[in-house]
Amino acid sequence: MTFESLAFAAFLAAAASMFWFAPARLKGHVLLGASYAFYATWSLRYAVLLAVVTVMTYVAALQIERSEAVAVKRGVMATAVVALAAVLCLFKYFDDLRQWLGGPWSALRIIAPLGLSYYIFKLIGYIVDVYWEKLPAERSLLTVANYAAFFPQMVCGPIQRADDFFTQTRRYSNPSVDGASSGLRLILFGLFKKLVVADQVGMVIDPWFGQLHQLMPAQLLLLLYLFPIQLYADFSGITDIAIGIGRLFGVESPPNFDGPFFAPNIADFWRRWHMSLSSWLRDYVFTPVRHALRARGNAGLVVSLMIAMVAIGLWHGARSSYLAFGLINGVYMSVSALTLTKRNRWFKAHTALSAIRQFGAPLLLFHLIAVAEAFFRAQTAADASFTLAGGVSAILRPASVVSVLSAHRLRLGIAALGVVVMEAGHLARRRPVITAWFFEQPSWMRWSAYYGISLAIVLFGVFTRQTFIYQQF
Amino acid sequence: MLPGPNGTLRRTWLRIIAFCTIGISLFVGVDRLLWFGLRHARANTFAVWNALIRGDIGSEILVIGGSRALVGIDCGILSARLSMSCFNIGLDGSPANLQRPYVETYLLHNKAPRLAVINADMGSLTEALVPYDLLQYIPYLDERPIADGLSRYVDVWKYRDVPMYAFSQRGLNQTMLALRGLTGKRDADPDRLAHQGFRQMDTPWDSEFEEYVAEHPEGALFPINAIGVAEFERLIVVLQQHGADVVIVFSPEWEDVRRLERNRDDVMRRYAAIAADHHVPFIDYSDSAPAGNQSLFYNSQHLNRQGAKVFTTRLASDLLELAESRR
Repeated sequence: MTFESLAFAAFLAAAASMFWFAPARLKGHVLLGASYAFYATWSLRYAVLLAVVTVMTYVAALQIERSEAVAVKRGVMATAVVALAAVLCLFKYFDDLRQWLGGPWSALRIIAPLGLSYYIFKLIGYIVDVYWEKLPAERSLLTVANYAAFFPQMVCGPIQRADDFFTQTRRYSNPSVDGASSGLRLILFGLFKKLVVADQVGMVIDPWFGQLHQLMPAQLLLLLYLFPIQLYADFSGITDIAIGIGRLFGVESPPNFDGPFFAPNIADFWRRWHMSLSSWLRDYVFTPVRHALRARGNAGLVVSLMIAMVAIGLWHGARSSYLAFGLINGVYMSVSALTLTKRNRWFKAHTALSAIRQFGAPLLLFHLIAVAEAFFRAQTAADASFTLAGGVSAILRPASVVSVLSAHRLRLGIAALGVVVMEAGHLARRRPVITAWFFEQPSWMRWSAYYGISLAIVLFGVFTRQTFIYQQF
Repeated sequence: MLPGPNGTLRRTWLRIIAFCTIGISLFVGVDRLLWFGLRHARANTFAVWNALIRGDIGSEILVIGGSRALVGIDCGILSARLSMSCFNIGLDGSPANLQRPYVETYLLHNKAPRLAVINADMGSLTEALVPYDLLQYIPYLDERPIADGLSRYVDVWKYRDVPMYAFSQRGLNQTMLALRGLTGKRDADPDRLAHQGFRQMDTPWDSEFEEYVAEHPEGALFPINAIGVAEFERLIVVLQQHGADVVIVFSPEWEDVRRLERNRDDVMRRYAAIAADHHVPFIDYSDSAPAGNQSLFYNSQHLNRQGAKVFTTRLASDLLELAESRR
């Protein structure tokens, strides 16, 4: 049951109605029932796994809090984190590693459970926060279970922090009319981004990935430019849907994107891209490592950044291309961090060039990201290198690029118009004055916009793909 | 319970109801408009479907089959040689389980033919696992035979009754065809209606056969299953019940492909047996002259325009002979 299917629409309507009409004391149970029902449509067995790790985390957190001795606290925390990480590694990385392991392992197949990385990271964060005494252990198993299994966040996150979720679900309550309608608007906008932008681009470029070595250089160049757009529309689309659905149950999920391609530098990009993962890794990986290496100066900074970025890469899977993706971003981040002060000083001394920097930096950033994401999307680092080399060679052949674009002008034209609408929506989100202006308009005008978006989704969306890129992680 | 502090219950529910009512009406309206576009589309497959549904065909000779019938039998020649009106309703990629509902729909709206020429294929005696070009059937799901025929492949009710569902599932092609239908634009391809349903293929020999041989050097088996056979027989019976004389033909294939059709003899024997059971002639053109001339084909299965001319001329003579012998 995927978020864009009719079956999910019916499920959501039923789950939300039951939640709204349930008495306050039962709302948490209804939400948990809905989350597990949703999960069971993917896999009943893995729903049991989810329940087991949830109970283990719940007990471990209470044990950490109740223990007096620091060593015991640390031991319970370490055991729980290692156990959760082991579950993650076993289910997530085994399939990538089995060929490498060889022998009898290569015949064994383990399919990664839906949302495993997301809920394991949530639970690890919770355990560590309790250990760090940033929040008390939650007494209610129902609340912890809802936190782990909250179905809107199960497919692709965002990775919500435990204190944020627990605070909101201290008392389950219905959303306000404004909250519910803003949730529905976000769902609509997310569907638009996913189905009209990401999937129309995907219809063009996805088949190309399966036959990289048969492609013309112009196609390889377009892959480099179009994939970041597809990925952004796809991932930010499902994030909007997840946040929107959460609002229907009175839960505000954290944002995952904040105009990443308008960032002035790579560090800012990572503060605006997959924010819930990057902030998680910042708090639980980068900061502790940086703290441990603080005496090593810039070398310590570089090592901390490389570890954090490689962790981001490997979070996606155990593939050489993900490792390369992490390493490339680690290099970007290190170079950026080490040169930022000097660059700022230089541009301050050359004020005439500041305007160029303002517009040029996002452009340069997009190209850097496109190079890194070539590794993200490719099956192997060698495939990514091939794509880059071929794509660069096409820069000198604009006519062939135009010819390929022309062959796909209908889909790419629709996607381009979709990007304009998408960025208009993002701009409105960043500039409250635009949002305020929109809501001052008469109902018929606002409703026309909603109907227009809905029709565009149905007429120009792609409903046959039924998968999100980040769902596999 | 909804709503919260920002609105009264009554006002909120009224707004929700109004929003939904207008939205549903809009979707139904656009849905109807696009269906109208599809039912008036003049793109070549839809042009024939729409003429068929309007009852505009009603020819004396009806050519039935898949793509091999469509490109291999020129109704202009049959019509001229037999002095009877003729129309080719060949349907791309359709085995008997899809041809039968198509022909039943034809018979619901058109005068029954006097002579039905069924062009058999190696794959006609099995059910399609997935219908080729499902899109072509979608606008006609309110025709009972089509709805019944497709019910094993799709949830017909969703396509037919949920506003805009068909357009969301079949993607841009369907929407663009509907818009072209609304604007009255013709397809850029040769107009089938102008050629009595026959699709002229002025195409040179392509590489499809060589690619097939490279992929399947041992050839392939063409399944014969009970449903496929029953559907083929039902097609004959339906036509006979409407008073049509039925002739089964097997139009020529490029002779080199025959070694790759591992159960070719079984298939041919089955066609002969079905023909005998239903007392209809079966004419196998596998060994006819065009089969050995590659220049008459554009791939191993399909005759080009010149090949269709040569073959249809021969077919016309045989049909005349057959008619003479029955007198």
